[in-house]
Amino acid sequence: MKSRVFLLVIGLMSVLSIGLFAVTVVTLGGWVSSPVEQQAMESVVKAFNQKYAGQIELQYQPIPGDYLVKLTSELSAGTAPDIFYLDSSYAQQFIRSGAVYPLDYFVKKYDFPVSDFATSLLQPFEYNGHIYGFPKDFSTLALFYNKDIFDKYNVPYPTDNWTWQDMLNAAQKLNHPQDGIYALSLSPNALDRVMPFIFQNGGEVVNSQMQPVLNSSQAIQAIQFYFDLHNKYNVAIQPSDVGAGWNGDAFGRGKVAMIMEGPWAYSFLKETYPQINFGMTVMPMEKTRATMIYTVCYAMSRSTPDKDAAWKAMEFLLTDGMKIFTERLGVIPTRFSIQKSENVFENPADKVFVEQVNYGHGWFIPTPNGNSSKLLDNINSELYNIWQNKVTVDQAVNYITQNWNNWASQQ
Amino acid sequence: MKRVREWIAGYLFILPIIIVVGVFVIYPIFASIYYSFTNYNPLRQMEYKNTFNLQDQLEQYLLIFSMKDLNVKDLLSQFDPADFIQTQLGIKLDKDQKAMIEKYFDSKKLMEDFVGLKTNKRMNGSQFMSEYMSKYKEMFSGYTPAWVGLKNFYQMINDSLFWKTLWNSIFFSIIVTPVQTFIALLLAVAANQKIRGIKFFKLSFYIPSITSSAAISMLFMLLYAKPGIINRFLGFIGIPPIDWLSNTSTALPAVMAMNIWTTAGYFMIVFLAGLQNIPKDLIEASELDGATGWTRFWKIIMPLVKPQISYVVTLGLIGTLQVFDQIYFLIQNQQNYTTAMYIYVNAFNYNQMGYASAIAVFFLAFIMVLTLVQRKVVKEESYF
Repeated sequence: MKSRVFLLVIGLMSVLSIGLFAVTVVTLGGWVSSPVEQQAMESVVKAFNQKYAGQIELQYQPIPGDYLVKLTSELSAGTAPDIFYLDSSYAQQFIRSGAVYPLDYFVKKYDFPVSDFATSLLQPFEYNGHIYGFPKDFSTLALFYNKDIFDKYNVPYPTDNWTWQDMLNAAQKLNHPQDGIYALSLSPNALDRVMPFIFQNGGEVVNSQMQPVLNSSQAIQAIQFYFDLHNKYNVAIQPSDVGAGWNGDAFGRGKVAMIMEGPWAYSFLKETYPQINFGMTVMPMEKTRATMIYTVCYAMSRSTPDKDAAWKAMEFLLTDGMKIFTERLGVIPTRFSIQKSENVFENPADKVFVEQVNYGHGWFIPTPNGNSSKLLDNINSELYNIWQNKVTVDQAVNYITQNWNNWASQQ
Repeated sequence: MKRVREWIAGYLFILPIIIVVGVFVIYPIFASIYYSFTNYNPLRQMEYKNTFNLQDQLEQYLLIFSMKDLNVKDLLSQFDPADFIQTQLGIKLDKDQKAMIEKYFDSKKLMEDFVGLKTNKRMNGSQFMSEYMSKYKEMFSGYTPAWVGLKNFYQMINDSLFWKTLWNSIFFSIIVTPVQTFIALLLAVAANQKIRGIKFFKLSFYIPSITSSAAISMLFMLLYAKPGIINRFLGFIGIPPIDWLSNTSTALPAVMAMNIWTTAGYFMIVFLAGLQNIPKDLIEASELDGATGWTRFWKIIMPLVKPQISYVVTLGLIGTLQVFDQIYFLIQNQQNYTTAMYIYVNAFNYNQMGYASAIAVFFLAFIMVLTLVQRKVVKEESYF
């Protein structure tokens, strides 16, 4: 009898305490690229909940599977997380549909230092003079090389000043299909991997009127060079040729001498293929230097009930969270102040990626209505036709520029 | 009276299934017919339903950090209702709506309420609009996709990728349906023999069709890989390795082969049932007349399982035209998409729900016509 009363009291107390100290719940969703990332995010969330104990509770709900599809359906049903990841390549599609909340007010109210971010990193998340997201981290592409393969065939390592011709010369010496060794592994159906070459050659994908300029001679030369590595010089393969899922995997299996990938490949190789002895340097250059910048931002959902609390969580993710991510995952922080305080310029794993940011180009294709998924799918499919020798570069470029507005303008 | 009661009881019994089919089959079909004439964007579904605190929204829009010393006149000069509704509340406005807001939106009342601290309450977009529009409130009651008439269908006719996917679906179907039917029949005849361990064979023929297609797709991804086992066997006879799933010429046939492997076992069961219905005396009589196994198969077994063939071909046709999961898992390039996959991509990757619905409606009509024609051609036997 006594114990029952005791339990009742405990029960009543807990019910009361919930009622008295109501905490605002803010949810956070995003994809998970590795278990390490999930653990890092969990510790960020823990740190936030300690700091705001009794006021705001941040709940982390990772979204597995097809992120884009899940996010779309959750936003349409009004069940999306309050804060979610948005990739630069498709951010505009969501921003312009009205599903993402503008952050200008909070920036002013809490004096958030926007100038701490490089403008090229914010650009994909701006629309009509409003800011809709702040990038959590960023990546650039760099040239990875397998030192053992270079040593085996007595080829000097790539340098900072490599031109396309230098890369091709080295590749021809490195390529030994009879030993199962190939010089390069390339992504044959990804515009973002061809784009650095287009920029390096002084070309562009779209002009300021958002019209395609892939048919300029600079762009065509660059696309030609990229695909000639496979079609003409036979020094490049695609990952599936060696049974790999992506370039990093092919590289890790020790079958290719060079790949062009981002910092995710660095952590992947360290974890999965620790025996691989590799180096990294900046992307090769031609008329100028160029690389791609990939960013992901934290965005706020329109359906967030308490936006002020959500902002506090977002601000925490962009300060302390960014520090924890940098320390634990080796990602590159987007804020100058954190780049400095975390010494990323001295860290050999980050250095090559950070120093390229000044001449990097943000990964997104501006279109009049913000939709670029259909456009990109069509371009990538056509690029793969070049790789398979089904069309020439000229034919592909003509086909793409002719259909561009049709693909980009729908809805 | 008794009749009516029977009638009610009958319908009560089937009510659950009527509700389930109505909600999950009938309603979606009609909804997608409706959406095929609109530019429905699912991301805008919530625009009038999201709730907000009006005072917060006004503070954030007007960048006000303190509610003291506000006056209506100053605020009115900064306040643009259409921009507030679009940028701050996230509601997209069309031309007509903008014109109506310019005329009938009561900004003054809103600013007075705001200064008078009467806006500190939660509401959603449609409630807000009905409170502050003096007329034409019904134009802002919720998100209605704009009616675009036949635009989606015109777009479909001019979309070369759509025709490519339709051809892929037809190609898939005209190869897979006959082959799987024939193999299923052969398997059934084999499984109908009285030999030792026949249960084991029946089981192994049937297992592919009950295994999850995700698991099977993973398996075939390995088999079809460039360094995979199929290419190794081909290497013995001197054929250079083929990247089955990446190569746009071989990807679809590779998936077709896998599809035949998974479905043949399922249809085998149908034929097996048919074969077991064939009277034994017929077979014995033919044996006495000296018919060989082959003649028996063509002259006796085939005609007698005709109803099953008709059934299997109809189901096979519908199933293959709608094939989605295996395409989703294995096909990498849009040139190899089937129509079902293309519908999915348009709806969920491009947010063009209206266009996707138009293709779905066309495809529904296409399958219906095809099935009707097929039923006319292969006449059903009376006892089926």
